[in-house]
Amino acid sequence: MVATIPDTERDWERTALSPAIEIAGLVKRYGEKLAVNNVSLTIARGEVFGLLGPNGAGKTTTIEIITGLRQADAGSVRVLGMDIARDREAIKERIGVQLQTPALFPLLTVYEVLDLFAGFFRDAASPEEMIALLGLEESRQKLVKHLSGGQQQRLSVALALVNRPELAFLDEPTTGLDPQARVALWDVIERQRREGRTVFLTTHYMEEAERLCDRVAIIDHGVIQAVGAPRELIRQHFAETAIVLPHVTLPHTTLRTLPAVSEVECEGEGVRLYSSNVPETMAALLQVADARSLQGLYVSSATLEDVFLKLTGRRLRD
Amino acid sequence: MKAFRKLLRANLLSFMRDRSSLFFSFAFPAIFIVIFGAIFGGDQTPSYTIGLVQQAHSPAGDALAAALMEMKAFKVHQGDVTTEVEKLKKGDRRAVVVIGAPGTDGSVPVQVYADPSQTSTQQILLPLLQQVASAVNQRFAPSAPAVQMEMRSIGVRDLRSIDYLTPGILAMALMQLGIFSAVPLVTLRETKVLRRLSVTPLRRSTMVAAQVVQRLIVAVGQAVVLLGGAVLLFHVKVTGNVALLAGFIVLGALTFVAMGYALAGQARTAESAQPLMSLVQFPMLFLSGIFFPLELVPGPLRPLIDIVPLTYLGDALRQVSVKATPDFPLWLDTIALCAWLVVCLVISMRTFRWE
Repeated sequence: MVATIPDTERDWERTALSPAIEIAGLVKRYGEKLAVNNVSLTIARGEVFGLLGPNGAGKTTTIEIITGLRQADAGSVRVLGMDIARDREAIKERIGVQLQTPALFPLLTVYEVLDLFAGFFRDAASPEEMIALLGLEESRQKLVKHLSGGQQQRLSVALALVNRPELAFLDEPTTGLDPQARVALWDVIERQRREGRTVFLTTHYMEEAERLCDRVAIIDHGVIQAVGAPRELIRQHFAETAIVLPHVTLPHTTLRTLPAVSEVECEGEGVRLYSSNVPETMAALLQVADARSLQGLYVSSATLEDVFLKLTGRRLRD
Repeated sequence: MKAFRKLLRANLLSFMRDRSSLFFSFAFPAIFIVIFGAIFGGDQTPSYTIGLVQQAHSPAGDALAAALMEMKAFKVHQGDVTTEVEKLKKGDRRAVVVIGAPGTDGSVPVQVYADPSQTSTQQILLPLLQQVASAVNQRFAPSAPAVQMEMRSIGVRDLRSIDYLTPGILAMALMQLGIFSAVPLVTLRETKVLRRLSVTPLRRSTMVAAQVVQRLIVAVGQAVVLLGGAVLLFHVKVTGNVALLAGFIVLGALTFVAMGYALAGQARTAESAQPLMSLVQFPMLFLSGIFFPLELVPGPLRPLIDIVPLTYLGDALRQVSVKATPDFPLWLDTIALCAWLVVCLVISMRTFRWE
């Protein structure tokens, strides 16, 4: 007896080993302006990937092209191994998208909206499951229009995950959440990763990207400026670490001759030393410094925010 | 199918939770019926102006004439057949009773001209006349009738009847429901919900189907509430074929839904769509004869009346529900509504923007 493999299963086999997203040479023009300029990215299965960039950098356009909401002028997009233009309907079943849509069906309750969206997919989680996942128990019978900003935000993430997508797009998922709810949402995203799902997110919060993302891409003026793991990007762009001595009494000339120190900056009463090798500098510093000079000493390594500032000349939240 | 079912349910829930849409769909037309009913429906305390024509004198005939003149419910005018029937047609008489010369069997033929589509005539006046006649019969010859009453139907337009207005108000309600039916979709487009939905497997055709079917369900609900209210409160007699009536309700609702989508295609936002829709519906209200007979409309406006689809819906509903005198044959009403449906469908499919 020959067992026939259902189409969906065959699709899955055909595409399971391909990257979650493969884009190459993507170009999108709005009139004279190049919104996306030759962007290429490959995002592996199971990865949490962050796209970071100032407003107007091309983040939204990129997401819109990958999710099929907009057509690129040039380049190719493959999602879960399928072509976005040709297989859009099949892709839709398997991805989840959270857009920055303020109100969805204002006169339905949280439960009803989840139930409605579940009905759009061949296979979807129950409203109960999503309510528990996003901690929406208290607002399940509330009308959407009566939800707080944070609750609406969580609902919109729940809607993006209702079909248990292999690939979820989350556009600023934690905007408007209080710190507690944000941490809870990080848990949800990490759970997606544990289950082998891929998450593509944008965020305004650097600590969020550093904590959540396996890799990030920094985009500005439509061009990818850097791609890599957050730690790796910081190492690449900031070879040096700052050692801050708030109450130092040693003369700058002495400090400047310490091993591996490249620069000494005044900072209030104290100084900031930039070292390419912290252990070496510290060992030497402990030899020459008195107890008072070492009071309050701390080591400050660069953050993703610093990388971002360096690459784009702007802070992310500007 | 699952998506359609859930979306239909969601649309109905949203509709029922929106107080203003509920008001305009149910309360507003109901208020119309109550107001018009209070003004024009008050002929339950009967005082009927009737015409009496005595073509010959006979004991039984004279007794009947005397009995009629004695009745407090009747205001009797005497005259000849032609003038009295003419006055009946104008609406100045509710009935004309013609008493003839006794026949060979000795019984007096009595002809009653009236419009049976006037409910109060059907329900009160004619039975009252029968009563008077049988009283006369009993007095003269209990075994064989002395007066033979025969009914002659004459189509008379009743200007002041709630019966005339009820189907018109139903037509008005269906038009409003239909014309504004695309507003939810335009709002969804504006608030970017359509965008959000377009990244799910939900099809646009399913979305439109769910919206349209929701409107049809509300339309049928409206019809039940309006006709039911008119029947219970003002004793409007809905005598027509229910299936045919339902058919015209659905056809009318569909036509105006299509018109709503065609109009929505011309507007960018829900806010600009609403005035456009009002601009279309108000002239239609007054050019369709749903509030007054078409004869009262000045001549130069006639061509407009013949174009407006509400004219045909109102006429069809009047004919089918209360058996009113037709302005047009029913097949012409059907064709006119279908033509509008097709034209609006084509326009809306060409012009409605999803993004």
